[in-house]
Amino acid sequence: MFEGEPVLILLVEDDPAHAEIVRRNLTDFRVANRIVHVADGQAALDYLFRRNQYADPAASPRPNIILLDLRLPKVDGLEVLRQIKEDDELKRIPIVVLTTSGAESDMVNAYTRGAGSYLVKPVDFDKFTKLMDTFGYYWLAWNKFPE
Amino acid sequence: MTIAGSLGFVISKRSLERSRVQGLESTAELKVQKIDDFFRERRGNLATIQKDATLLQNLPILAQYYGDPANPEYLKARALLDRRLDPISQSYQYNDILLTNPDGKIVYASNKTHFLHHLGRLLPGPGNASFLNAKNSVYLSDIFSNELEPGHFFMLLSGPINDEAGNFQGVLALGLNMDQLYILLKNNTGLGQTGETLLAKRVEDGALFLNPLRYDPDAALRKKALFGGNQVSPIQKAVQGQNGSGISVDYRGVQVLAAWRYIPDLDWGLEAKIDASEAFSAAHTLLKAYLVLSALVLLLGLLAASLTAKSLYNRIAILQKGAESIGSGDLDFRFGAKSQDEMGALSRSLDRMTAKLKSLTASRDELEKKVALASRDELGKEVAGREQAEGALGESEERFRANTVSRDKQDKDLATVTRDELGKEVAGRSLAEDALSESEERFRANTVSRDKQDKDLATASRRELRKEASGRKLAEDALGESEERFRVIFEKATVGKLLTAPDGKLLEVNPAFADMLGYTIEEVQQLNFDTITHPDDITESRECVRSLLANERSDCRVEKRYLHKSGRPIWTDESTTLLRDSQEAPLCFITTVVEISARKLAEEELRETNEELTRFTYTVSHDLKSPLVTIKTFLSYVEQDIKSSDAERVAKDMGFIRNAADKMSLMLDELLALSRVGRRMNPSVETPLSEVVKEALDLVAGQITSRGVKIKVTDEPVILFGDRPRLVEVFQNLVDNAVKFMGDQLEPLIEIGVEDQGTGIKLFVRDNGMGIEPRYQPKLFGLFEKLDPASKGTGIGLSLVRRIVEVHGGKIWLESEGLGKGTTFRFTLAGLKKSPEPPGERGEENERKPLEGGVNNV
Repeated sequence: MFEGEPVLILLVEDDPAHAEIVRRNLTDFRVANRIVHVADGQAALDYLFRRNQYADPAASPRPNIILLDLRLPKVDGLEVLRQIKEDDELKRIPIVVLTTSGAESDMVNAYTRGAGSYLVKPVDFDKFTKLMDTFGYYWLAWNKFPE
Repeated sequence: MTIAGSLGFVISKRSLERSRVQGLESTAELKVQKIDDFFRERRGNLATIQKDATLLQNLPILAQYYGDPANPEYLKARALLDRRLDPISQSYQYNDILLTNPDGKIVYASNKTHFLHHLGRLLPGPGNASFLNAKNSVYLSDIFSNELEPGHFFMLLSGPINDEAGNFQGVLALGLNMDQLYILLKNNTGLGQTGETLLAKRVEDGALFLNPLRYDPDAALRKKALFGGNQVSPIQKAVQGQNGSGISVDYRGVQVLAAWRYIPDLDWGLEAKIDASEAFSAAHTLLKAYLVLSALVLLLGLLAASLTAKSLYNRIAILQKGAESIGSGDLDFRFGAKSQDEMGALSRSLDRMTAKLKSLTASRDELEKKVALASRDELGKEVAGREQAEGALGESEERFRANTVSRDKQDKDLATVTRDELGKEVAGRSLAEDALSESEERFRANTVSRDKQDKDLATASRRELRKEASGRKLAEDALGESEERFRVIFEKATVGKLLTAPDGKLLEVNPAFADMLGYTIEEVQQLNFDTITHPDDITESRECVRSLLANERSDCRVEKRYLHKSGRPIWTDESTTLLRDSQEAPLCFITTVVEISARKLAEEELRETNEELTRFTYTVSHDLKSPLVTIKTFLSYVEQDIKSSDAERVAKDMGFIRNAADKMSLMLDELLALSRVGRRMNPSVETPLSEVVKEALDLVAGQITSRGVKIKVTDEPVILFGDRPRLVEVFQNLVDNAVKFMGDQLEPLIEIGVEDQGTGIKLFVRDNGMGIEPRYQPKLFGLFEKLDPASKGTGIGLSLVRRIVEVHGGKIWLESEGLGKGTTFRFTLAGLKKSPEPPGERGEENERKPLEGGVNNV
């Protein structure tokens, strides 16, 4: 539908089923050709700061956008958010929080720490699908990223 | 031992000799006594017969006809006399009773055998002495033998017979059979196998034995102990009028132990003796007997002493109790001792003294009563204004107290209500506070007016002082009473009260405040207001002081922390006002301090509970929603898959659904378990650690086996106390957790053990698995926290463990040096103790022994 540069998404999600849902919805968009999935906060930071298994930059290309769950093993989403926003290079990457938590405190904390958007996973399938469609159009079709 | 033994023997020999001699002496005395008695009795009998009417009547007839004993007159007289004298003769065992005529010729003999032989003859015995000496007095002849009865010895006891007119009619002679006396002497009781009693009389050249001897039966009247030998024998001493005892040689030349006595009435000597050989041969036997006796005496002595001591102690205790009672004013106490000894006497004299004291006290009380009544009358004329002031003051105090009580109650209630009620309560409390402030204001006003009145009163009394001396006393009393009243309010208050100088120096504090901070009043007054205030609250306190001094407000109320003597903070709710003098210059601060530590603690607990609740609802909303999202989403995918007839995808999507459903179900189970902890508890019981661990291991046996984990359990006999199924869950979860995070360990090992390094008993579950990096450790016990998203489980397990441990009054923490270093969970539990049973083998090595049975060791 839309022509453009392929977009790289870093999906930080501990629930494999949810990761699958996200993948299915977004890969249906022809433009979104790449999703990198990590299952906990520590892995996300390792990827972004190129540590351990992601030390080689070739193994850890910069994502255009980060889809971040808040409830994460080892290091939770808010801490990941804080560390990203403290890094001069990384803080340019837009972060969209995708979580099951609709808690006010989580939203406030997320935005305070620099989240660009806050999405709550709908329980209803159609809504979830629609949310992913909309997300795809907005972030992957319309949104412009720096080179 | 030998020396001691010999010494003991010598001592015992000497004491034995003493006791033997004493025995001999008493034997001698006894025999002398018996001999005396023997003769005294017979003398008495003689006297009786001398005056016998029958005798006196018939003697002349007998004397007349003794030449013709067949004469009827003689026979008649003799028969009458026989009837009279025979019973006497029998009873005294006289050998004969003889009567002579005034010429000394025998006219009557009671002995039928010798009757005819005696008639017309003189009395037997040497030299007719028994007749000649008996004409005027009683005479006792020497011992003599009788040809008629050879081998027997006799004595005659004779006395005159006078008629009523006093004319001499003849002599009465009683024939004493010496056999009787010898029987007395021969009774050798106390004289052993060799002893005997000797009787002798002095003759010119020695002592003539009077009785047959043990070793010389013919000695009587034949054998003599002649004077002039090398030694003076005891019997010789005795016949010479001496008494004594000692070791000597007897008539045989044998060494004897003897006691001797002189018998003055008879001019005889008596000796009781025993062979020395016998006397001392029994020394050892006697010694033994003596020792047994001594021991017995000692024992009895001790018993008696202890009984005496006990009864003495009891009586002393009674006396002491009495003294205390009397000392404390119970003058009705009476010892009532009945015993007759010194203690009894003491008790009685104390009773008398107490009674006296009581009567004195009574009269003193009477006097005091009178004085008191008199002074009360005086006081009745008190100044009316003072009473009025006091009335106002009292009323204000009452209101103040009521408000304080209601505020205290509200504080207490506040601590227990829920958050919602807290809000309501706060509203109510501020109303009460307003009322309280108002009341305090009134109280202050009253205090001021009271001070003024006191001052006036003092002035008035001073004026009166000048006028009259009696008025002065009354006024001073009034002032004192008023001050006393203030002092009581200050001292007895249950809330802290303090007076502080404007510079922060503590002028005065009440006991309640000192208690609150754990000091004595003297200690607190050495301190400054700033030093007893928590550092974090000093600024606020100073601001309070400043605003009061600046007159920006009249009252400053804050919640602040004081520092307890031990250093811990004491939360208080305090209210301070500034007292000024008539020129409005600051005098001092008056502060009322109410401790609200309990309320603060309750608030803290409430806050923690709320946090926990928030965390819970948050995690539940998030983590329970997650699988729901999965299920619903993938159900729709399955529908699409079916439409597109993509069987492979159906299977895959159904897998997601199944996993999510399983996870949800597990979560719900564990949440339920978590909510049960602390809410629904089984009764606490004592259970050995080994049983709890065994049960837990049985529950996770499947995982243990499939992962090939070796389990080692301590055999230290430790007893757990608590909700048994919950305690099993602790070990179950910890072991399950350890198995789950074994990583790629080739020799997986889990150890369950006990540590006690002086800081209390700790249990531990240690594994050699993947370990946990220190930075993740704080998150670990959180609800739904999982370090490994790929691992099975809900993240509730360790939350549950922590909750169970905390509910059981314990703490749990984990130690791990990092990845690949294994993990050790350590925890304490209240009521954890070592079993009193003797442990089989202790020590570190045994902890490493594989557990037997129930668990699959690999």
